Formats: sequence, C-alpha cells, structure tokens
Amino acid sequence: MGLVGRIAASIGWKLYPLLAIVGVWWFLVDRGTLGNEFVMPPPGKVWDQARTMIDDGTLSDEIRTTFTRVFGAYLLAVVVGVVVGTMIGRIQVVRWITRPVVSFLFPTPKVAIYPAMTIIFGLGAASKVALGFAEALFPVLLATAAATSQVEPRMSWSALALGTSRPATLFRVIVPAALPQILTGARIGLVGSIVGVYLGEMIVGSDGLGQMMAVAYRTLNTPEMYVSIITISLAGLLLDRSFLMLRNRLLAWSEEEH
Amino acid sequence: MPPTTDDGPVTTVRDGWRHPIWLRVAPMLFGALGVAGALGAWELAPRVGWVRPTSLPPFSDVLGEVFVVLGEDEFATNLGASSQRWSLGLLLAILVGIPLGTLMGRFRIVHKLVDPLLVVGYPVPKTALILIFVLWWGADNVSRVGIIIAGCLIPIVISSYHGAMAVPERLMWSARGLGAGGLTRWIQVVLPAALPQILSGLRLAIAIAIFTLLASELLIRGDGLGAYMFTALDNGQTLRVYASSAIIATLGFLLDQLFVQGVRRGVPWLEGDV
Amino acid sequence: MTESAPGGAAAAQPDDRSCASDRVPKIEARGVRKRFASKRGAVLALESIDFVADPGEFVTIVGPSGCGKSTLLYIVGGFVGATAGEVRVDGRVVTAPDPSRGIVFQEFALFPWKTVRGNIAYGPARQGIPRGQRRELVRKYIDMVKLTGFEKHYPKELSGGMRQRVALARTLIVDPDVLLMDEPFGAIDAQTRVVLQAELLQIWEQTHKTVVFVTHSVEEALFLSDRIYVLSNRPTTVRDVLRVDLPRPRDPESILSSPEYVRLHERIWDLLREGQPVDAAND
Repeated sequence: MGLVGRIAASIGWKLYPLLAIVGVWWFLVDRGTLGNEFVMPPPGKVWDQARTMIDDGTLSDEIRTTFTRVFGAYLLAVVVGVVVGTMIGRIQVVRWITRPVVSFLFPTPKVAIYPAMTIIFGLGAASKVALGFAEALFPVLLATAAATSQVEPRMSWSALALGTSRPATLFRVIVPAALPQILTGARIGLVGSIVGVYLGEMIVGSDGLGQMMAVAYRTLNTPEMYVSIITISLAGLLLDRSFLMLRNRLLAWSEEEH
Repeated sequence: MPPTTDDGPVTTVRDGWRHPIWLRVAPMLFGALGVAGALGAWELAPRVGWVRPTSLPPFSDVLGEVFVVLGEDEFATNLGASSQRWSLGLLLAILVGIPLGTLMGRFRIVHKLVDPLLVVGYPVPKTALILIFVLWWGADNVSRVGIIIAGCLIPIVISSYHGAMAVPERLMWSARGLGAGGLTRWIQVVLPAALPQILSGLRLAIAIAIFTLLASELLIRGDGLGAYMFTALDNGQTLRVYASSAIIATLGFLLDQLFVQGVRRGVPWLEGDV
Repeated sequence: MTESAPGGAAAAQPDDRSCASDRVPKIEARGVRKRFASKRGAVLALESIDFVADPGEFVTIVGPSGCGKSTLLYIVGGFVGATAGEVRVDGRVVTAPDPSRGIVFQEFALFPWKTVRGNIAYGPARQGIPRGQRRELVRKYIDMVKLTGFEKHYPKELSGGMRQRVALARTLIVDPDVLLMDEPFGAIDAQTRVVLQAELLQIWEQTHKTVVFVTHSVEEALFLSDRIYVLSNRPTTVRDVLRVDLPRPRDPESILSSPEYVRLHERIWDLLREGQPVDAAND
C-alpha cells in the first residue's frame, strides 16, 4: 500500500461513522424531521452542487486560495514559534522578558484582534494570513518553549563528554529531544491556522472557502453552504491525519500519538 | 587535548552562581522591561512614522479611548449580552460534557457510542457551523449559545474522558470495599481523581467559549461585543476598534487568571497548575 | 583527612609526597566547595572536599542521600563549576567536559532518537573517524557489553540493564582515561546489577582506567573499589577514606563473610550514621 493508500485507509476507518451520519441525515430529510429541504438539503442536492463546482473549477480555486493562505500562515507560525520558543526555553533572560506579554496574549481570543488586523493589513489575503498566524503561533511557541526548557541536562552533558561543542548541543541534543512535544504543538497549530483563515474569510473577504460560506448564506444557496463546510472539514481531517502519520514516522523512537 | 589551563587554581569555573535575591527580583524586573518594551514600541511606532497612525494608533490614544468606551452605556449593554451567552453556553457544555466524558471513561459502551460523533465533530471548525446554526435556528440566542456549546463541548468531553480513564482501579475497589454505592463512588472518587484533567479542559473551554462567542457576534452581528466592534469598524472608528480589542483581550486574560487562581485556592491539593 | 589501614601494614598516605611517591595522582581535588542558589535561598552542598585518585584505581564515593556526591562527580567531570577549590586531572585544571573524562549516568542520558548503534557511534563520529572504521569499532564495543543483535533497537525498547550497557559502551568507545560513574546501577534490579558489576570489573581490569564511582550502596562500594570516600551530610565534607584490602578477583558471595569486609561494612555504616543530624528531617 502506497502512502496515499495508507492515508486513505486511516481516514476511511474514521470515515465510516461519517457515512453513517450521512445515512441518518438523508433519512431525516426524507422524513422531513429536520425542517424543510431548504434548511437541510438532502445529501444528493449537496453532492450535485459540489459536482457543479468541481466541474467548473470554482471549488478547486477556492480550495487553493484558502489553503495557500493556510500554509503561509502556518509556515510563518512554525518558524517564528520554534525560533522564539527555543530562545525562551534555553535563555533565562529571554524567558523573563517575554513571560508577561506571552501569558497575556495566550488566552486572548485572537479573533478579537481580527478587526484591527483588517485595519492594518486591509481586507485582502494578508489579514486572513495574519489571523491564521496568530491562531497557530501560540501552541507552537508554548510547546517549543516548554520542550526545550525541559530537556534532561545529563543528556546534553553526555554529548559534551563525547566531544560535542556547547553550541552544537542545540541541534544535536536539544532539538531532537524536544521534537515530540514541538510536533504535538505544531499539530494543534495546524488546526489553528485552518480555523483562523477560514473564519477570517467568513467575516470579511472576497474569496476563499470561508467567503463561499458567507456568500452562499446571503444568496440563500444552502447546498453551497454545506459544500463549504464539508470541504473545509475534509481538508482539515486530511491534513491532520497526514501530519499524524508524518509525526509517527519521524518519531518512531518515541511514543505514538493518535 | 583537554581544554584546560595550567595557570594556577581556578575558583569559579562557570559555576552559575546567582544570588537568591536576584533570582527573586530578576523575573519581575525583566518582565516589566518586556512589557515596557512592547508598550513603548506600540507608542512610538505610529508617532515616529514606522506605522501609519491611521492604521495603528499609539498606545496612549487607545488607552484613553478604552476609558471612554468603558463609561458608555452602549458598551455595557453589549458586554452584558455577551456575558450572558458566554456563561450560559459554557455552563450547559459543562453540565453535559463532564458527565458524558466521565461516563465514556468508565463504560466502554458509552465510549463506543459517542466516540464516532467526536471523531466526526473534531475536524469541523466550529466557527464554520455558525451560519449553519443560524440557518437552522435563526439569528437569535439559540444559535449563538448553541455554537458556544458546540465549540466547548469536545474539549470538555475529551478531558473528562481522559481524567475518568486515568482513575486507578485500586481507588474504585477501595471505595467499593468501604461500602460506597454507585453514585457516591462517582462523586467522591471518580470526579476528584479526574479533576486535574477536567480542570485543564475547562481552562481551555473558557478560552474557546470566548473565541466562539466573538466569532459568532462578528459574523451575525446583532448585539454583543463582537457586533459592537464590527460596527465601529464599519464606521471607520479605528480608535474604538482597538480599544474594544484591548478590552476584550484583557477580559480574556482576567477570566483565565481568575480560573487559575480560583483553582489554586479552591482545590489546594492539586499538584501544579492546570 | 585520615586514612584507615589494616592493622600492622604500612599504609600509603595518598597525599604524602614526602614518601617519594613515583605516581602523580590521576585526579586531584583540593578544597572543593559548592554553593547552590535558588529563590528560596542559598545551600552549601559541598563544604570543603579533598579527593585523590591514582591512575588505574577504582575509587568509590559513598554518602547519605542528598549529600552532593553526584555534584562532586560532576565537578570532577567539568559539567558543574566549583564555587571554590580546584580539580586537576593529569596535573591540568578541569574547566569543561572532555572525552578524556567519560561519564555514565543512572538513566535518561541515552539519546532516545538514536538506535543502540547510533548512540555508541556518536562519540567516534564526533572524533571524525570514517564510517568504515566506525562500524568495526562500534561492533567491537557492542560485543564487549554483550548487546550483539540489538544494534537497531531504540532505547525505549530496552530494559534498564541493557540501557546501561549501551551507556557504558557509548562512553568506553572514546577511550577515556577516567571513567566517572554516577550511581549507574541504581535503577537496575538486583540480579542484573550483580551481573553488570562483575562485567564492569572485568572491563576495568582489562583497560586499567581510573574509575570514580558514586553509589549509596555500601555493599556495592565494598565489592568494587580499591578505596572508598565516605562523605558526611550537608554541608558535606569527607568523613573518612578507607582502603579496601580485599583480594581480587572478588566473589560477591564469599566476600560477605570475610572479616575484613564485615569490619569495613560496620565502619562505613557507623560513619554514615554519625553524620545524621539530631532531628530526623533531612533537607
């Protein structure tokens, strides 16, 4: 089984409850229990809508738009989060300086700053990337800071006694040892960047999957609303599972994550 | 070649000595420095011209506006509306989530039934459900509170589940041996033992509830802090937007701190923070 | 600092240079003092330690829990700096860790992301030994610690005893003159411990390294060492230095009944007990 096959199997296993729900959904609609067909269109209608959008390319365009932003935001968040997190974790003065600011910003709902972001970055892609970045940053940063500060010193000492220079212990010992926890934070960050970008597009935007949902709502095109949410959910699931597989492969030497 | 020197006794060899008083004072000193630096940058950047003042007003201006806003009735009403939804949503999520999660942790049947729902629910961004809820239930409080519940439920259920699963069997046997009935065992053994995990999930849920609440208000408008902020945005009242953001951020921070302190005092036997 | 010798025999004083000693001590620590600081205050861990180890000697440091015997070891190794005093190895002052002073910790020091082979090959790789030679060298040491067949295993898949074998091989492969051991068998079950102790002695007898071994087990100290330093409670000083004149090779069971063993055992326990403060609570 190739890699794609294995990802598919991993998802497929989880998908079967989804199929059950789709079945229930269709059943309920058919019986008219969940309101009228407008509010809760049958799966068939949603699928038709999706097919139309796939055929004329709009769906893939919107996916590409949204996920370009997601990857941009995520990449930025990981780089900044790991670099700053490592500095916080290893250098006590940095930890002291950043602690109040980070503790204050961490519990803040980043979406509260989103209107301000649109003022600074405008109504286009940049503000969505900014929100995605803000949502993804903190899990990565905190996980990295915690992980790098908790590396067993005797591991570093062993490396020193085997001929490693002090600066080299950073990438020979600290980073590998901290990697499991960093990747756990990175996984949460991935979810954050998806949520952030999508939400930003929903609130105010001109393109992307989030905006698709908002426009469909306003134009009373309910099947398209469902296409939007299902697409983002599936994409999120796919990315999350892929990340997990990557993590478990990279970290074969440590505990597996589910 | 050993990197040593031969010029007599060396007394301090990177001995890492820091005076205890310094160790107590330094974090606060540097912390204050950090805050001052951040606020200072915020103050200077627009004034000096690194950022356009129309995009990012200086900190002092925003601070001034904060006090103006706090004095307004309009703000107070919106704050009230938001708080009501937030507390109601959180409360309901707790009332449903903790029992559900702990039951899942102790009874495989419950786990098997509920788990697929969690698995399906997990990858769906709850904020994406906002408009769908409005579609189903209209733009009034049912959907707003509903979305908060939807947002917090999963973390609460999962943490309660992990907490209940982690209760050592021996604890349960001891309780049974001491004659505790089913419900008593539940309240007096499972819940306390699962408490650290549950509280950890709760802390997260508090933040998620605020987040979902704001997202719904920014999206659906009506009333509430999010709507208030968006109106200011529409009206081009930049200062007001920043002031609202600052207030909401502070509220989020305070709620989190309140929770942590409350846990520390109310549950003193807990080791470490949640 | 006194030294006890078996009755009648002329005892060699380790720091009596006037005896025309032809051996420069391998390790020499003088007046070592260590103070730690935390938010709560300062703690004097080591008051003033004088310590000597001759080349090829097996020296053990025993003491009550928390007395800082590991700290002393770390200072000798150059991992921790002393507040006062100095440590010289081969006459040169110790300022930093170095491959000539290998260390084996009790646990958690293996690199979990590397296999057994990866861990052991780490030192030679840092020394720039080319791959082919490295392979041979690693194989030799894997065989030496009896881990043949486990090359590709990760530390998480190994038992405690096996992990310590890896740790030992990882340190020995860079051929240090001095071997520092920080309660290496402390987390191992009793049966495996006996086996590892015997293997350690075998390796020591073949390689003639200077070993400084920290333990809280008096039995282990008596079984393994040439000399034993007994430390006091905090603020720690050397209470006594005892020469273990039990003939080698030592059998772990029969020495238990040797009168010399019994005498030393009692002596050490007396010293450890005397060091206890009057009130029961230790820091």
